[in-house]
Amino acid sequence: MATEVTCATSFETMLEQRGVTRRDFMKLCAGVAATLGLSQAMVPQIAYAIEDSVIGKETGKLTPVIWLELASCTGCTESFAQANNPDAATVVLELISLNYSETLSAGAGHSLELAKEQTIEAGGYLLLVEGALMEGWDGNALRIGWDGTPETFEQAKGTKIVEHAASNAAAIVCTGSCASDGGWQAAHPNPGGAIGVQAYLEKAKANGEFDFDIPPIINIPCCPSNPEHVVAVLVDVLLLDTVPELNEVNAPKFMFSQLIHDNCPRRGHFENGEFVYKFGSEEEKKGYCLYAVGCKGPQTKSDCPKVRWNRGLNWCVEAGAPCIGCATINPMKSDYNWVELNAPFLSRFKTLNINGLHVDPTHVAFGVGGLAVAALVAHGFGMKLTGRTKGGAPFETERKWDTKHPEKALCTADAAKTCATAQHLEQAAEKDAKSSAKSSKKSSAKGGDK
Amino acid sequence: MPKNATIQANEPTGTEVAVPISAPLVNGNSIIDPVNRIEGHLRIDMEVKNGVVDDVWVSGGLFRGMELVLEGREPTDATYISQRICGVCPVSHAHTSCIAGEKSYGIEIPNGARIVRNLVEGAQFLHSHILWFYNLAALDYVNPLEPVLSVLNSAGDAVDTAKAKELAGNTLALANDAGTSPADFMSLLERLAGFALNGQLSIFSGNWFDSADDAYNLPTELNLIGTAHYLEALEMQAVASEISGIIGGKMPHIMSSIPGGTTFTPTEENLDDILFRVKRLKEWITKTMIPDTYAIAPHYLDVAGYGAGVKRYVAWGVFDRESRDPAERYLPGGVWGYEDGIGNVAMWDEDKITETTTCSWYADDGTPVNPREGITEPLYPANDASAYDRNGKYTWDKAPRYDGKPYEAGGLSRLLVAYNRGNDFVKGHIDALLAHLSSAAGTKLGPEVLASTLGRTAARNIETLYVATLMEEWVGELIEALKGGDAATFAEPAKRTGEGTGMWEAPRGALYHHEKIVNNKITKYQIIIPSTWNISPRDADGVRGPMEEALMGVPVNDLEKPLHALRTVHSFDPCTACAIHINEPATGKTFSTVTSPWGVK
Repeated sequence: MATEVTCATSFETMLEQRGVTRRDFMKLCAGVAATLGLSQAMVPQIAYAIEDSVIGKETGKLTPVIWLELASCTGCTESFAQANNPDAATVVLELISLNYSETLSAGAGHSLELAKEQTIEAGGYLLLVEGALMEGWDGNALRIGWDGTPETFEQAKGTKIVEHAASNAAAIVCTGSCASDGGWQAAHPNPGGAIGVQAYLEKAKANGEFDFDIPPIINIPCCPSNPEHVVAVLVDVLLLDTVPELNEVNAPKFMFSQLIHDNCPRRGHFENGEFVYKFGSEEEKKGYCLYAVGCKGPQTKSDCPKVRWNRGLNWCVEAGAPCIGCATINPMKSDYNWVELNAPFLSRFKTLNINGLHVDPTHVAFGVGGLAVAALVAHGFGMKLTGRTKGGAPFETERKWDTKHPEKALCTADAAKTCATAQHLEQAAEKDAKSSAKSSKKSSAKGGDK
Repeated sequence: MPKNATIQANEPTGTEVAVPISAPLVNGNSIIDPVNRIEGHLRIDMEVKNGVVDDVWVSGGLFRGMELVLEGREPTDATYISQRICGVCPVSHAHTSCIAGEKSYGIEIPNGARIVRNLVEGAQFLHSHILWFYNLAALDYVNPLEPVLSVLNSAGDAVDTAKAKELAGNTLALANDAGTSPADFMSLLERLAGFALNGQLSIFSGNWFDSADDAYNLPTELNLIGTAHYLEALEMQAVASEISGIIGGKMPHIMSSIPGGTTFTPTEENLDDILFRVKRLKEWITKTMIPDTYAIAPHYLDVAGYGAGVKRYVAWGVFDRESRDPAERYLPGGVWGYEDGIGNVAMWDEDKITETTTCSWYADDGTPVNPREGITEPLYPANDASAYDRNGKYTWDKAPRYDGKPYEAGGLSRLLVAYNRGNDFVKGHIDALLAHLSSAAGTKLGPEVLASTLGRTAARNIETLYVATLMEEWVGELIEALKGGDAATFAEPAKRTGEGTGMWEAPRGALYHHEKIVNNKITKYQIIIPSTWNISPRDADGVRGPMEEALMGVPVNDLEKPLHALRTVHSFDPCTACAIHINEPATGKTFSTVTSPWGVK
């Protein structure tokens, strides 16, 4: 397993490591530029009249940003456009200089590529990545900005574009689950060879494809990313001068460390054992807990219930829809993406992913003593089994509702084997085991030769 | 200004609109890669001869393989996952996937769910069209930097207040004349000055405002109005998405539409929130978007002189009435071409859809096949420049055909089908637009002029108003249904093995999902997306796709910044991440012949 990216605890330290002085950085920061007397000191050249530059001034009161769109649906850009306070216009006019964005830039083609090139050369920019990298067909599953000549064929691959843009970036922000670990595109059978930014860069560096230090990577999961999260990270980095504290998947701790379940407004119904078993039912109208129809809130870490979506108006569960766990990321294991781990979305989960182990819940209920796990699982069968309520109801091996609706029932050990996803996970485990066995054989064989 | 010369761009449009080409006439290769302000990755490769496009290849640069990811999963999973094809039109994918699922399940959704889906679909149309016109396409016509640069002092380091006041005053007067909504133009100039004097170009980096196509024709006042409304549009598209958020939990990628109906429960509380936003949007579209279209179009009549395309149109139809008949949808289904004559619309027939991959990076035997029997396997021929072959395979996009011919999909297609089906609202507004353009051109322009880059652009704005008008009706309809007890929102599947096709519309045009399920598991999934029709490459007979055909004859005076060509591409509102997809190999071969199950190593 590749090592974790070293995250500078302070943005400043990181900049220093990259040869950018405090003074240079101050120039980039909003609000600070004015105190340096920037506008008086420099010849007030006007916007696009600057000779040979298509990005205007290299530095100014805005922090340069390159927004790369890779294998994506543009949903994260769309989502960003829903931001308010500050809204998207304020961000691109008064907070960052968005020198490259396929969706928002006025320019196109050669001149837009030139804008990216000049920004990279100048350095000190933030790199935002939306969408997965595609390794399929030697990286030809994604090609952007090719001038048609054989010499530039290689550099127009999405993978190479990211490498190049990362080479001089101050930090990388992966917006959305796809950039973080490949997202749905990496779901079985991963037809285009999708992989997240962190895993790709670490692998490429280990393979000797480049030797620069990989900049700090901040993953912002969810599909799409929540604009409140993206803007909060931008504010952290640009105004507060810090990289937010990150969790084990390099996602900001203050957003992605608590379970959705723990902050869910329907949690009370869960505690009362009041569940929606059927859409269109009375229970649904009453706003009962969606756990029985597959809600992944109890296993998904995000602050969705607090930050909500579309300017704080609503979020999934409040629209009556179970959480589908789109905030789940595994940056170094793209086959453990949110789709693979959470589908079928509207069934109660059939396997639990605990520290990378996929286990059948019925086994866990009897075999594992951990209260949290047992509680979680037991809730599926009858809340009172957990022991929180003394002398609770007898354990239901199978709910009556489940016998009537086998297709939606919590998978038993036998049923789990018929589920496509479970099969894939088993195959993966087998394959991992085989390859590690092989490599150990190989190395021992080699040792023998010597 | 370029000298105007009348040329026959592509087929004659039947109009006398001048096309701008200027001497000296340029020759050579012109490539736009990446095309900006669209969804996804698109490459335009043009051979320019004597100042016009002489041949063109449109190439989609991304392969993701959605259908394969869906296999083995459940119809509800497909509804959630397939939305991730496109962050601009996820709702349409959800609904088309739902319809395919419901047909497989042998059910029809209840009345309440029908109206709720129309509302969330409508909200997405408003969001998409507003964003597209103002924030994506408009920068091909409006130069937001020009007004502020015109009011700087002679040293260029501060705003000349007197000049700015004068411009703001003139702009206000023009807005009033044009009947479009005014803004605080003085404050806007100050805000823009803060941006311009800082000197970093942000989203205007690498802009084409100085294109030798010399095509930014708006007076300064109209540039300023356009800029003000660019900013307002960013707000209004978000308001439209708020409606999707109220019904769908979040937008992009809504959560509430699933096969069988919707998980959204309409209540007095949330209907009120929806209605208020619909009214606000409708008013803004009426008082801003439509008048802007009318004010800007006369300055760009030349844009009606190119970009005709194949002049054949498909629409599967969108927004169900109680009858659930696609021919009776609020925007009805149908196929129509100028060659058929006004009023002669045929209803579509799923069997007439075929796809070929002769020019696409897939294995191929040259036979056009119906998507239900697709036999396609990705095949990227070489890891070098030879993989891109103008005479062979040059794109990840496939070539769909209807009745063997290329057809255009999109807002213009829907409106032309509705127009020819005699839809009063659409007919009234199209005729009014034509009258307005005729008076600006000083000559009578008929419906033929709609087959152009300008027509494609303006039609979408009329559709925006139509959808907003309908949404207001639907809120009323839902309230009546609730009162009358006919607002059920969910139906359970009648069976779990079957097959079904969803034919619906995304904002970008005709959308097709097909699935087969066995015991609730998908065994085969097929998708044909609007942009697949539009950015189609050549087919087995060498016939160009609609966008390629539309680019033929487009004037190019600047090989590096071919603005007229870019406008034509944008007029389709292409969505290429959507467009690339593959079918399950029906040959019995498994996909692992091309890639390992865990990705290409």
